[in-house]
Amino acid sequence: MTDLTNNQAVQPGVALPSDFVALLKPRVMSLVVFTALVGLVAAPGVMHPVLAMISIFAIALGGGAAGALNMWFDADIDAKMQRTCRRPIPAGRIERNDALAFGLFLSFVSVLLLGAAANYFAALFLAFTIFFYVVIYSMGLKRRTPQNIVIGGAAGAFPPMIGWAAATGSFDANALLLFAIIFLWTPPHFWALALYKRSDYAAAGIPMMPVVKGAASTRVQILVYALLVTTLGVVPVFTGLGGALYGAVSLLSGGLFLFLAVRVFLSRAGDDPGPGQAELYQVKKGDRAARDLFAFSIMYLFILFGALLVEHGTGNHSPLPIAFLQGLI
Amino acid sequence: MSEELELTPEQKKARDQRSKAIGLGLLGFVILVFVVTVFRKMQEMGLESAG
Repeated sequence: MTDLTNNQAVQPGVALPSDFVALLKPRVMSLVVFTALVGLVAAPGVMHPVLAMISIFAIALGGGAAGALNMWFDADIDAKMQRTCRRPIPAGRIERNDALAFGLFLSFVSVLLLGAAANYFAALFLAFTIFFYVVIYSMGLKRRTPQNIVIGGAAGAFPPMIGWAAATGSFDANALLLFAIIFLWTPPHFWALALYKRSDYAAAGIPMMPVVKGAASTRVQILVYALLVTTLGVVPVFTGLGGALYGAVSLLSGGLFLFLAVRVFLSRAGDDPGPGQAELYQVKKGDRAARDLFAFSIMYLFILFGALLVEHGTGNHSPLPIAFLQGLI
Repeated sequence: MSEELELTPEQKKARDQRSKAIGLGLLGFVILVFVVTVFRKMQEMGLESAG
């Protein structure tokens, strides 16, 4: 159990419904909803639109439940970080046990609802995702290893597979491909943030890559992962999952992602500034580059998955002649 | 012996809002389960008549 050391005094009974909504991490939820929807729409199965909508709602609820349980467990470190100290528990508006009960209740409801609306394979997968995020990532990895978000990133990469499983009752190599794209996208996304929020993470004692291995090593790793994700981002064209629109979008947005990653690599983002003004300027310039990469990485995922949604959702999807891997899947 | 809890106006207002949210949430859940049941039944009937 974690201990709330820097917490403001809890004010009992003042929590509003909006505080409980904040526990669900709505911004993370929106990414979960979007990627799960793409998985569901791009999958070869056919689902009634009403049941599909309820399934997506259930997946969103499950993602929110995982967020609430994460905030329950991480309340002590949230209180120490500028970025998170205004969350409902460290701000003293919601008691930790209330967040725990809320998260557990929503977990059960979301899994049962997905089982009823889609199938129990997808429901089981949603339950596993909540378990992975809360137990494996939050409790196990986050405070122990700089590889926390590399392995923990799997939790954020599961939603398109859950959507796929909801539509088909199983998944194939294309579903795994969607998973792999988000999985490889997660490290450069979070490490870009960690570079310019390094002191925040250090103050909370979270072993993020820039804190443990230093900024220079993190910049190299960001570049490596950026190369991997932008390369993998093009592969759906060869498996037949992505068509012409997807191909163009993945090349253009991948190129920009790579450019921004190279800019961070060449910068001094996250470095300790020396005594001189010129050095401080270079580090701040680097931090801006990291900020740009962080912001664009979110856009990249939305553009990439958005292209799949447009192609499959409007019925305009047709594999390109270069989809030579299609027969193997 | 239970102790009488005196709520402040702010706490009373927050409790009312939470009660409404819980009520709406539970009602929404009932409606969702009903809708799911209806559509699943329709699907089953469609499959049976097709088979």
